[in-house]
Amino acid sequence: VTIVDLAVLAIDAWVVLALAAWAVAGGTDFGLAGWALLTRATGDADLRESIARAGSPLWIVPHAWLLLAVLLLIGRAPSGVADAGGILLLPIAGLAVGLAARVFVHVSDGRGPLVSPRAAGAQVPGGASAFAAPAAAAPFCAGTALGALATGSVHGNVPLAAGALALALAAFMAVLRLLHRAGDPPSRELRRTAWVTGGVVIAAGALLMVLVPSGGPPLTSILLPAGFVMVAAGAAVGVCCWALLVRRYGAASYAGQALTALLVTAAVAAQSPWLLQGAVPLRDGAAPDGTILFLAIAAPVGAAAVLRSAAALRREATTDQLPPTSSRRIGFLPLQRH
Amino acid sequence: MDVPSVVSLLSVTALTAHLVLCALSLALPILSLAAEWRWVRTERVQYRTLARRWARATAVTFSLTAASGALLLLQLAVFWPGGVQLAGGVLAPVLLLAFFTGTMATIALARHNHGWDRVKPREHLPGGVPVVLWAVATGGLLLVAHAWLQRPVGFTAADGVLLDALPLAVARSPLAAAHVAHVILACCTAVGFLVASIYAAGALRGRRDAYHHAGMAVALAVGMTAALLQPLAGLPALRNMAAYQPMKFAATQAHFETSAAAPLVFGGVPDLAARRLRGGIPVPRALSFLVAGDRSAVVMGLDETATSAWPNVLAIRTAFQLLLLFGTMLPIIGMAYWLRQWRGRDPGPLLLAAIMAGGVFAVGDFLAGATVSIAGQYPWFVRHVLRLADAATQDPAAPAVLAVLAVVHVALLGCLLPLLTRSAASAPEGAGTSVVFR
Repeated sequence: VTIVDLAVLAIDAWVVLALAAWAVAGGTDFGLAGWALLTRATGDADLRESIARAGSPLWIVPHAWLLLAVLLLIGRAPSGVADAGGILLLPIAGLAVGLAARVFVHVSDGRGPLVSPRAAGAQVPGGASAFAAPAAAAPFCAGTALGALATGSVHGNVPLAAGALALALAAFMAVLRLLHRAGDPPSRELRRTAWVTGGVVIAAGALLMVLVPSGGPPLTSILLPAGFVMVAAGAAVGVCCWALLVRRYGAASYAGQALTALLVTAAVAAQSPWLLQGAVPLRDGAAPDGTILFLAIAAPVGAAAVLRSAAALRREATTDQLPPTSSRRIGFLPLQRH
Repeated sequence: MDVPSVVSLLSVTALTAHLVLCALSLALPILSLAAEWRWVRTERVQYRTLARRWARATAVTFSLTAASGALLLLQLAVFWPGGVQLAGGVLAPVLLLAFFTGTMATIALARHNHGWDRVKPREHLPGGVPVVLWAVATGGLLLVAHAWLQRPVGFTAADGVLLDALPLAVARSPLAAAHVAHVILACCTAVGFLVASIYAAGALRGRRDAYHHAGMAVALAVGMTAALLQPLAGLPALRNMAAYQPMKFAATQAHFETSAAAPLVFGGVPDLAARRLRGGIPVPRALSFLVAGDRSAVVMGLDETATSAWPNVLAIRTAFQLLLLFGTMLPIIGMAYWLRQWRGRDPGPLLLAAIMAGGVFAVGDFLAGATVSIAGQYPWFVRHVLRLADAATQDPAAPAVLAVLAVVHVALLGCLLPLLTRSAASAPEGAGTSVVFR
């Protein structure tokens, strides 16, 4: 085992982490876009307001993880990405349009990125919902892409079923976050929606499990390498159901997120050693050693710096006040209370 | 037109929209910081209003630029398999750094905006410095990658596959330093004059208040400073182009035959069939002097390569002439404004109209520069290593999908411009509005 092998392992771990984090954060963000679209039709102003408030104030935060994963993959296996990218034309294009649409939502919502939530009761512009449609469909594209990588082709039932599961998971995480953020006992309708969406997730997951043996790799090749992860995912489903039953919505939300992260981790683990199942091994066309070592060092250092700053921003934005000491820093320099 | 050609053309559209967003992301934080500095110095409320509005515009611009960058990255992975295969392993480290610095810039801006009205002005002002530094670092890193594509070094490849590369090989490109300085200054010039033109337009409509005056003054100060510094970076960039991209340089000058004591010709129309430049005003030996500091130096002409290998001479020559024309007009307009200010007189309608036209010149100048750069790179993805035709996908579905994405890129840019003009035109902020992040 050389240091480069260890660096490759570290980068792979970062890619899995970044994909799982994006599936959770980005999936919830897209899911909220989907619920915004549906509530626009029902005319529920309160729910619309809750959805607008539940989103991230920074567009880049939920989706930065995807960029990190793609950048690391390009650096780690450029030839593999070049070979695999060809079959992902349509799902990636759909995902890209969804990402752009989510930014349009932020801008047209009147809030813009980095701005405070709108005043209570302010009307959500119609444009926000119009842009929400492609954003809501983005998880389907992402799931289809993952399914295509698992089966070696974008055609067939498995990619479609994976897309459906991703869409259901995004909607489920979003509705659980809405329940969590509701504060007062949430409406019965919202609770029922959570149960129904959870049922759809389980149905989509079951459908995928049925379809995989016919259109994709043998089921055992998924279950065996990712066995522990799948067991953990099963546990997350159980915790989620229990938390919903006893109305512990915070726990339900975290369990839903854990379920998504674990499913993505399982899918990636099952994918190994292929980037594109049966066609493009991950080891083929690896980047030069210098690049690998650089990425393995730069990724954790950069991520630590970003996460530290993001945590400070979150603390400042949520508490909405400065601490009594002058230890608070904005940028490089200490701030003092005005 | 074959698939790779269409993919190249559509990618250029997307890239151009992204470049404009990048220029705004790079220069707006500087404008905001300059306005805030003026506020701290003078305590005049119009500067505070400007600083906050520009900071808000920067926030939106950052988001749109990040989205546009994300789209370009996904496009690179899907539509440019040959490019990823060869250049992915070299460019990924610098793109990763740019990703982190860009994210840091966004977070620094959010924290800076959060500090408005929460801390003393003198304590708040330095918080804008990291925003500028991170934004400039991001732009600089991306420009270093761009310079490497024009003059690739530090790697070995065979059959379009990368075999070995030095860590951060992109930073070793001899074009990098001058290219970064030149383009960053160009961004500041273009955005400074563009923003000034928005306020000049408001003043021309009768809103001759302190707010509009301050908007013009700060934006022109930034734009003028960058324009005056530009020759310091422009000359090395030009010499680099002559040394490392001689055909592109020859195309900018429509210099068809290799010759010593070459003249610099302003204007004129290149006649490709006759291989000569018709008309124009020649300055004897000036081109040789510019390129090598020697009035008798030999300047390589287009005749050094086959006609089929020429870049688009007409487009590059025209764009370069426009670049010079607009690049000269902008400082003249700025000087006229500052001369008037120095005499203690407000700008008259004619000068306001000129400043407004300066916005068009600034955009034209920036786009002309982008045209020289992009057309000069043709037909290479990585110069002399990988052709665009070999780098792009051959998938027949690609043009239609990419057309949609190109429209999205343009739409991202399109939704920003009304926001900027609306922000400038609206009345200065009143009491009672939320100050959180605003």
